[in-house]
Amino acid sequence: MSAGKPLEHDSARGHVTGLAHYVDDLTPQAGQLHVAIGGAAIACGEIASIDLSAVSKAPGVVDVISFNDLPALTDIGPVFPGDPLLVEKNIEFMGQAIFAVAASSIRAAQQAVLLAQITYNESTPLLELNQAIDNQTYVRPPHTMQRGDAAKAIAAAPHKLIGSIVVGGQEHFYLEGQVAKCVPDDDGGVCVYSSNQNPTETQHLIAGVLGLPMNKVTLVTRRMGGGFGGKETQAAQVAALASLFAVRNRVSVSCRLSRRDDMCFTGKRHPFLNHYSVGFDDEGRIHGIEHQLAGQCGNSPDLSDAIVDRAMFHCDNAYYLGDVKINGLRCKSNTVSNTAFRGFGGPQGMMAIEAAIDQIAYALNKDPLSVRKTNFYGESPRNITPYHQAVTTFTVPKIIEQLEASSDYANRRSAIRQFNRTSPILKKGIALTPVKFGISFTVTHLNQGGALVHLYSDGSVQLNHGGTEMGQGLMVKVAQVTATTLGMDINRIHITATRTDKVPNTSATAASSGSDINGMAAQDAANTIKRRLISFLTQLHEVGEEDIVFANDTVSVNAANNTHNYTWPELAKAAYMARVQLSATGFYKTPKIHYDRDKAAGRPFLYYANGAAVSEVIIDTLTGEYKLLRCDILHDVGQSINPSIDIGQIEGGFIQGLGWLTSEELQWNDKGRLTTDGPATYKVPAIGDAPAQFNVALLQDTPNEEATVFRSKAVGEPPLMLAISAFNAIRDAIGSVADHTIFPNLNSPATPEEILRVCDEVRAMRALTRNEES
Amino acid sequence: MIRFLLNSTPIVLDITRADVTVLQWLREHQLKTGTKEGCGSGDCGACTVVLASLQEDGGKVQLEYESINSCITFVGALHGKQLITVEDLERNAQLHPVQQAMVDEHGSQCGFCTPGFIMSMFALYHHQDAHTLWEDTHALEQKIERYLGGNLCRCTGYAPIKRAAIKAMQNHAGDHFDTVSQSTIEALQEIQRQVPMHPRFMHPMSAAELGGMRIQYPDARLLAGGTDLSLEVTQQLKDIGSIIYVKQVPELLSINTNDTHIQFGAAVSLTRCMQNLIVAYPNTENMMLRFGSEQVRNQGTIGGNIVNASPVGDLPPLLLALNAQLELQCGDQVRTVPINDFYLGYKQTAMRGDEFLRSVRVPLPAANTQVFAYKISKRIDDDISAVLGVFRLQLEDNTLVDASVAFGGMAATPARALALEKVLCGQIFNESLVAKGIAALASDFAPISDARASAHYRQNVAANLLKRCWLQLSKADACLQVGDYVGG
Repeated sequence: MSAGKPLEHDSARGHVTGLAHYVDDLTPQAGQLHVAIGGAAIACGEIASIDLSAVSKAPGVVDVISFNDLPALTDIGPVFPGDPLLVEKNIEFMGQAIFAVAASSIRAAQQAVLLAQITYNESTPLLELNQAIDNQTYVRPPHTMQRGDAAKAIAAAPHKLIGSIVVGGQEHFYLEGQVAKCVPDDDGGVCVYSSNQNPTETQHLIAGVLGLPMNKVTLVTRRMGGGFGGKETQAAQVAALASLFAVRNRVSVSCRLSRRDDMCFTGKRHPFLNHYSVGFDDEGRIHGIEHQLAGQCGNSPDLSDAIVDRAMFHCDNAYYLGDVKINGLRCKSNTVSNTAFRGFGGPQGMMAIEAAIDQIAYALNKDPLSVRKTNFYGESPRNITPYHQAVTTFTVPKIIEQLEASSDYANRRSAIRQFNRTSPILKKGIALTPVKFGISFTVTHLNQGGALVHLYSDGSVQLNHGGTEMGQGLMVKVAQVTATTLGMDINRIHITATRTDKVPNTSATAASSGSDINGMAAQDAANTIKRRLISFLTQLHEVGEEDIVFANDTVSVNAANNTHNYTWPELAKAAYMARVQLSATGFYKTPKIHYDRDKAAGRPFLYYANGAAVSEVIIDTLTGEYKLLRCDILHDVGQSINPSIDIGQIEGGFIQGLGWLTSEELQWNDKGRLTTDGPATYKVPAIGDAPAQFNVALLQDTPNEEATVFRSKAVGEPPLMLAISAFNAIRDAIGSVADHTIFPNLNSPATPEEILRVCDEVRAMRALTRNEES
Repeated sequence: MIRFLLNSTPIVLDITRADVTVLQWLREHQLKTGTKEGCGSGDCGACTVVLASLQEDGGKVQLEYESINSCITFVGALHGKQLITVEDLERNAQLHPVQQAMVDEHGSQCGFCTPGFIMSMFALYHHQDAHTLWEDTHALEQKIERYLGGNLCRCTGYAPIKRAAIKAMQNHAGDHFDTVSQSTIEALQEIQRQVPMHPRFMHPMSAAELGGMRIQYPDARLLAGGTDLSLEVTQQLKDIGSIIYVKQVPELLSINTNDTHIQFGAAVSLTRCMQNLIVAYPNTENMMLRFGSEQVRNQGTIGGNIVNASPVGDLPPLLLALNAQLELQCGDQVRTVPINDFYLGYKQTAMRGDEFLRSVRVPLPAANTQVFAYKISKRIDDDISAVLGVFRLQLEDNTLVDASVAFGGMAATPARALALEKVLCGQIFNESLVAKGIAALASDFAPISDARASAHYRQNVAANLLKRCWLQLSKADACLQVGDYVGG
């Protein structure tokens, strides 16, 4: 049985030898063209004039298109309109696509773009989130969740405080940038190789852009060089442009963005500005809270409605909030439209409550961990979320109990206090934070998956499903599910590219749902084949179904007098000869979930994924430089399908979250130009940023209470939020410069500059307090 | 002709452009797509390849393996070297030990950065001390972080990559590159007997020849490591017509030490420069290890970092504080210019268009002299300085007999803090002098705000680095930098 084993990634050997192909590695066809995009040089205004004649005449250029060349659909917004494939007149952000060039080489195309003569009537861009909040400039209407009367509960509580936190955005920085290659068919259709988390949606949009039915557009995605949400909607533009040029010129066309273009042209994680007002008692128990979560959505809605919703769904994290009101704002700005990014708003919402809890602990002079424990979801009635779902599958208290012991939290915390008393410049901090993350798409209809399994007459199996591989190990996990279901050696199973012509109408590989829905769909397909084989064998051998065993890569038929063991080649051949259908589709839709957004009530999530982390940091109070010294994680993946893959998701998610909250700082200048437009200025974590001690463990013996695939739990997004422990540890370290008497208003990302700013602020407040006292 | 080995295959370069990168040549001309483009600017390491070159050590010829970023290396620079890419490591269907370790430890997820990591690990595998160093796990981990610091991975969080590197190194048993090293050496020696010729990528073989070419081809660009020049091609999309490559000029590659100074040829790599500088100035090691990445330190040169004249170059503040002397050559005429007279304005230097930088003389420390070099950046590894401060202090008892202080990131050029120096010189170094120094420092600089840091932060940190320097002298046992903190 392969499920549960730490098998290697199916492409590991291809990765380490360089033989695994990504879209740009596909052998170019003769005459293939390469596309570059010409983006707006202003962030807000109108095109006054446009002259592309020099572009057309540039060496190597074959075709140039702008808005008027679009034959059909012109807006590729995935849910709501607002994302023109090419701009007609109105410019909403710097870099917004105005025209595109196809040339004989990518360099020729990129150089030609520079020759465009475009003039603008420029308006003042809206760049600040605060300004959008003040002016109520939104891309979608605000939305509220509430339970009870928060204002009244806060007013009646023994203590109250208000606070706020800025949560920065994040560039995906997938190592493979956006890329697609389109090969035109002879019947007017196209086949598009795309680095894409959502092939069906891109198929739909390309069909729209070309004016074709979906059945003439095939999307193929074998693997991505990283996605993280950045290729859920953002992969569509390059794929659509490549397709358009391919059809116009009847030739293969590749569109690959340079790193700078990728960073300037495509959406990022939403920055948030979160305010809270909370009432609590002497124990730190929250009686009531009001959250305002304002997400900076950029210029268009894209997926922002659902992203701000998910922030709202997670500003409780693991805590019962008493009477609660959550207001979510979808603010507009003249910056690139922000989009999905691992956690999908959840992390930004969680940052608010984890700041509030720390602030309560400072107010009461308590260990923040004790305040956390006081507020954990518990027995009824303290088990109801702000959206009226009862919390089940909640393993946080169990995790905390084990982690607190295994990480030696209490002793280390006192040792750190001691260290700080004797270390004048370097200060340490520690924090333990939990994660509770809701699993399911909150848009209910997306919770469906499909699969197609072929058993060939030689006993080999080809596996296809709607999920896409972006490095998370989805393919090997689904293969393990399939192999286990058939009692088959996994080496018989060949994993194939995700193709919209094999499994149609799929959902994005997103919301951590990949294994849950595609694993179940593949299992369904495998079970269908298995049932047919059982039926065939029961008739052939005149035995009962219970006499047939699929195990150890053999199918055994236990007849009265003897056991007949079939190898898979024998069985497949025999079944084929007996005209048994050996190909099956599979389907899964997540049960139990429902959500009424108008009432902001229901059960949007099938279950919750849980985990917790303890981080210890050291900071330099002269420069703000910091180092994460140690991190201990205990995470609940239910019954793991592949422990190595799952631990990889946890380690990787944590470090990606660490980058988001520390070194990764997006900056725009006052014209709306992204100034951190490459890895020279935008700093994702490097190897030295990973902690020297990094202890990651899976919670044992805790199968998912819900009937998920092999009782596993989703693992893609939740670990990212474990990094909040590192951020809070930095806050703890800063607090030590005033003996934890002053709450450090630390914003994210906690760059050295931000850390030093807050150190200085806390020192100044301390001096002020002392002066007032004396 | 430009000749090199692509793994074991002799290549005679057939392209006439000067500005084709190794990455472009591999992917577009050879269709060897294992090497990936992640950024095109030498900042992510996805395109890492290894160059093996001949090194003479005590009369014995050996191969030296260095990782470089192929996206910012022009193909003409390969002459006389062996280019090794990720496709070349597997042998007879057997993975190379670093590849096998990465598979075993689940070191790849999306896999796009993996070829680059493999090649950086391969370079480490061929480190000259590879067979002996690895018993000390802590030292090994530091070496791994240094060798892999220029490779970004967005999926794994590096933990399994570290485990894989440790495993591969601790089970070090050599590889087939060792087995065939003698024939590789002979093949490279054969190539090196032939003079490299290329109409647009010129290889002067002496300083005199370089001097002549500089005058004869005024439009040709001088290329050393190319870590900056190449960005004009890959980032600004400019074409470079012709190049004079200085890294084959023996005079520019020599390092000579006497009683008073170390003289570095201008084309000495940062890796080698560091090896020599930290012997004389051990307190600069932290800063030097944060200079770029291993790939960039292997490619980049001391001369390039000086004449590039970036306000945030990491070496110039050190050389300013040490009063280094620069030898500039025009034709066969050499003149000496103190580096303190070299920087005239933003990206402007005293070097004329017909000159080149031949060598750099770095004085050895005088008696009672301590030098501290501090680099501050958003990320510890492979980042450009927000502020870089260097303090050269000559102390007798507690009195500062002489002090020179220089900063990067504080002005349009790397610059001395003259007002601060004036306050410090001749005074007793104590807390009140530090306070006076900080006040003076405020008049030395008016830094700018940019993506790396605000003006306020730069000013604040520069002042705090003076504090740190004083604390480091007065509390010699205190740990003052997060990078120095070990365990406990």
